[in-house]
Amino acid sequence: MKVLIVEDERKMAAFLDRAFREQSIEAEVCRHGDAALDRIQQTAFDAVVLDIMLPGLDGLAIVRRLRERGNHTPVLMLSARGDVDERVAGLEAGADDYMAKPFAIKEVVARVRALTRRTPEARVQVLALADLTLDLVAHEARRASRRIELTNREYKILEVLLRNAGRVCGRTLLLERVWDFNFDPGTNLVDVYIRRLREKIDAPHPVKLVHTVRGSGYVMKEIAH
Amino acid sequence: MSLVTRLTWWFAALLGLALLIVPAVTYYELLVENNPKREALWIQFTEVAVLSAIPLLVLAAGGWWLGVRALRPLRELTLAASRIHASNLDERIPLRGTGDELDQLAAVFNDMTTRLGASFDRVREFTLHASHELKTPLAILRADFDHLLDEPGRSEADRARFASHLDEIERLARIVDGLTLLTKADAQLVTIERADVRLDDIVRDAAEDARALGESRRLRVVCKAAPVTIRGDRHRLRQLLLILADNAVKYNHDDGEIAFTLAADAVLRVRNTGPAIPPSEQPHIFQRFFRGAATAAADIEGSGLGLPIAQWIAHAHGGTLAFTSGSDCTEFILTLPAE
Repeated sequence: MKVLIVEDERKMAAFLDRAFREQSIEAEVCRHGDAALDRIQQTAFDAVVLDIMLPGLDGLAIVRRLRERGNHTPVLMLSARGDVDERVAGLEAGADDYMAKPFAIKEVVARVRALTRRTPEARVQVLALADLTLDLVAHEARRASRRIELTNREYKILEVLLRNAGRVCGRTLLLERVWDFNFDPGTNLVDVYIRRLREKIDAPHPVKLVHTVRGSGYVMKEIAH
Repeated sequence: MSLVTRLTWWFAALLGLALLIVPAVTYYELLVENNPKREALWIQFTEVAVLSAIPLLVLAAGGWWLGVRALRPLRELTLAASRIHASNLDERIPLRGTGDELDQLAAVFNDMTTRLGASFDRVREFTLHASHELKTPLAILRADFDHLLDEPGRSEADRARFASHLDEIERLARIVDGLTLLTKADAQLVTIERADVRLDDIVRDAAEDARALGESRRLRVVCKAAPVTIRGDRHRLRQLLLILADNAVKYNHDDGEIAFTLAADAVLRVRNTGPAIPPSEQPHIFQRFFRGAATAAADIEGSGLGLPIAQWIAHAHGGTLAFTSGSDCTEFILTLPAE
């Protein structure tokens, strides 16, 4: 997998570059808008991480031109201005995802991975991890065949976490997908719900499935404690 | 011509007119009415004195009329000045083109609003740039701490500290976002989406969140929501509801209660138990960064931007946000225009 990072802020670019390499994803950094457009058109990248504020062409113009020319490389847009208008503008221009600075780097990597994953989500009927299953048709969660009662929000959280099993789900992602928030609520809402969810699905079992990635968010995977 | 000159000329004319009346009256009294049966001198004198009231009245009426006429532009100026506030600093008082003192005053006033408008613009520009310029280093800081957290060989104490730094960075970023939003709102630069929104769904979601947030303090949350559809921005409305829910949890006491009541006319009441907001603080609670004594005493975390943002969202939807607070009961009343 090969990712192009378009970010003019040298330090930020270096952090992103390192984070991708640590996950064994090949990354290339480009710091100028015009050059970035050329690079994306010349090379088949699996995804592009694109800052909005750039010297030369800005991020919005780059995505717009790519899409006009029929290039559908997945684009994750980054911006230092976390306002809703800019997010809407980014998605309307043709970006596939958007994150506001300051973000958790791991979440950027996880979201880029999600963008490059080609399997459509909708076809799955049952999500499973270890002995936990989530039946998306019957709206039912079971662990070790025992039914678990979940509230709406808990169910949605579990769904998002399971769909991204093995990948870090940042608080921002959960707030977007579960709460339909596109702002930082400034409460520990996510942590409170994760605690409740853990009590229901992990507490009675020796093998824990929900794990905290400190500073970044949560991940579901099978680890014995 | 200056106002003083014009007034002087007018007044001179008026005085001249009045002075002409006096000899005219005297002439009539002394010569025309000079009948053979001569009246006593003192009667004649009294008649003249009484008739002198005519020029006096002319002078008074004329003076009053002149005063009104001269000051009318000043009244217009006052009205215009009272109309001008932060959001219409581009409004100008029309000059009358006479070049007198009042025109000069209006010109100076216009000049002042222009300068005020320019500095307001600079403040807004600054805040928008500041948002970008502040968030970039925050993003780098955050990335660095993320990395430090992952470094092998770090002690648990170090990791806890880095995680706490990350929380503070996020808090700072939230304040920057909140300030940017409010500044943009002041400059009328924020677009509010208008789509059909089921307000009762949003209220029920907020009630569920309040329940989750209040669980550790055993708060009882009840929610009665009649089906209401309004035209609005669902993200902004969710934000508004979360602010109210979060406040209702924070400013509550253990085993307290929160009640969400949405009526069919799109009036939402969020009532919570908890200490009353002191009357001295009540006028300030929608002010930016205002944090009451209770907030400081109970060590409640927050930025002081929640309620100002909530109120802005209500206003942007053509609604209002008000509150009442008494002993062990505070109620926020959100009124939105029903469909």
